[in-house]
Amino acid sequence: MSTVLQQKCPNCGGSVEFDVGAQRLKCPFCDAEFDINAFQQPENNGAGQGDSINWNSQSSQWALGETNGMSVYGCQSCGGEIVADENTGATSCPYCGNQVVMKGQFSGALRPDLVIPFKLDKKAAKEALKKHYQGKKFVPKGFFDDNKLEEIKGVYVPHWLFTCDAVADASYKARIVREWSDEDYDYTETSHYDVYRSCNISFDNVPVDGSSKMPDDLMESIEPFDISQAVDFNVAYLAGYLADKYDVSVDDCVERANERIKQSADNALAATVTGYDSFDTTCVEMNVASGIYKYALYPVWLLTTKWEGKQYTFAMNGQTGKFVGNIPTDKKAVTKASLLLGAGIGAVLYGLAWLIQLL
Amino acid sequence: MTKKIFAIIVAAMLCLSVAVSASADTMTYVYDPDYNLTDSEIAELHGYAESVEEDYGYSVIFCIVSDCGEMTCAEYAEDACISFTDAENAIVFVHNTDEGVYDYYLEGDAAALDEALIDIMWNAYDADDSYFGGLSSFYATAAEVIENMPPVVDTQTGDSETDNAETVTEKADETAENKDDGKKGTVSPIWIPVCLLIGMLIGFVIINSIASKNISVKMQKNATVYTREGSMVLTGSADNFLYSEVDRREKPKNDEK
Repeated sequence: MSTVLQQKCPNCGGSVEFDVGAQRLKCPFCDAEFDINAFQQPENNGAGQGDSINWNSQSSQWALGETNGMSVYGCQSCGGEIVADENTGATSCPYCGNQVVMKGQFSGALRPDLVIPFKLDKKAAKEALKKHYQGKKFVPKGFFDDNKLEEIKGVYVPHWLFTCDAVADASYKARIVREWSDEDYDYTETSHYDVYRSCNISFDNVPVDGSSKMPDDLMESIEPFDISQAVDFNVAYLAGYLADKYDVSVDDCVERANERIKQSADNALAATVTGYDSFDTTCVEMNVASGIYKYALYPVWLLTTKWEGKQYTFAMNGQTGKFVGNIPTDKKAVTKASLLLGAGIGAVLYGLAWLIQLL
Repeated sequence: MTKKIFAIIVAAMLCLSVAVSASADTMTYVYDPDYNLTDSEIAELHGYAESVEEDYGYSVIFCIVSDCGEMTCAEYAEDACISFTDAENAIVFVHNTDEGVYDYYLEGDAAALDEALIDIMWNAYDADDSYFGGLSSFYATAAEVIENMPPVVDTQTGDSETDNAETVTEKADETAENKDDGKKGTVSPIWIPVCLLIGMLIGFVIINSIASKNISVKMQKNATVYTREGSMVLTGSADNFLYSEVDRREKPKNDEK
């Protein structure tokens, strides 16, 4: 059975949690607050951790292959057995509710370089959901009333951050069009040019979602995160939240980073092609020099709602509050409104045509 | 909300259709801006004119004006024809009371009327001292004249049984041209589906742009927000002229129109 880490209150032994407002650890039982650094290396600090009871299973309760893709942990508080996804890095005990961190998931090579602590709490996420609903049109009848919030959880999502200096060059076919007329003819002169541009451009901390469980579009939609507020990783920040270790390797993520970087370089070069009436890009090439990557945990609030048996997932940037999530659209209502508005505009156009003719 | 919009649109369309039908139904047969006739007299004269139109398919219009503005009587008559009727065949008389002159305009098959027939109609009007009496005689005579009108001359073959064939042919040509001009005051119903189609397209774009706000999850297109400030340095730039081509199009000639 793997080992877990619980941040214990030195006063009462209760399980402490990271407090968003104070940006410190707080004991929900005795309200004591502690600096994050006090929990820097808990594995070396044997004193004041309260009970140290390990309930290891003696018998082979899981059949061979049954725990594939899962890990089994023993809760240090109640001894309950916690079965979690093999990538789960932080969760809560289903029996006593204590927050636990799977130490092995964030040690050695798996240790994140940075973590952006949560700046917004669960209440802010709930309010953001309500605000997100406001002003939305053509939503199926009953969605807002019957749509129940099933789950709301703060998750540290693993991200790979890519920093690089890029050298990009691009070729374009450009045109200048000149028009003039004489008594008998209209003339159009089109001058064709071969345009070349190259540049050096640098990018800092381009994030790519390192968790296969998280939809990539959902994670990219809540960007950007302010990396200047990131701090060195400390397991204490995970207290009270869920966390996964990455399960998509950096090699698999780099392609997506290159794609975005190349598009940005292309845009930057195209912006320098001026003085032409139009141009087409014929070729864009990019070389990345001195590329480095980091492993970071980004704070995300995930909200799951259920309506008519279907789940809807919303996400909020736990740092900036940017909220996203698709709301279903009533296609019949859209069609009906399009037809009605179309008929109205058509009638107005016909009426205007009459007025113009009559005037 | 949808019901309200639906009700407003239906009301607008009803108003539009009523306005269109009303404008189509209201015909002016006797135009008397100087009030030489009473309302009841005009109504009675309209009755005569309507029966002529029903029986023979000709709009017979009479304008009694004291001033034609900058137009001649003939131009005024043509303008009145465009303004007052959609009929294919029309006879429009204009009497300028101040100058004591008259002229006329003939539309469609009415172009076959010769000067003699026109004079007969005018004389019927002119013989009576009162406007109402004159116009009553005018409409009665017009009905007789139209009933006994000579056949329309075939302008293609040039065969003519009347002395004024040439004149009739010219007038028929003019009438054909004037027919197009005469439709200035109306919008063909064929434009209804066109307007509806344009409206549907605009409505579809507007409604879908509103509905698209429900979708907020999408992949980022680039990493521009992560560009290091001031890091973009242009290291190479070349603009090479290749060739130019000139396209020449002849201007449309005015006489081709």
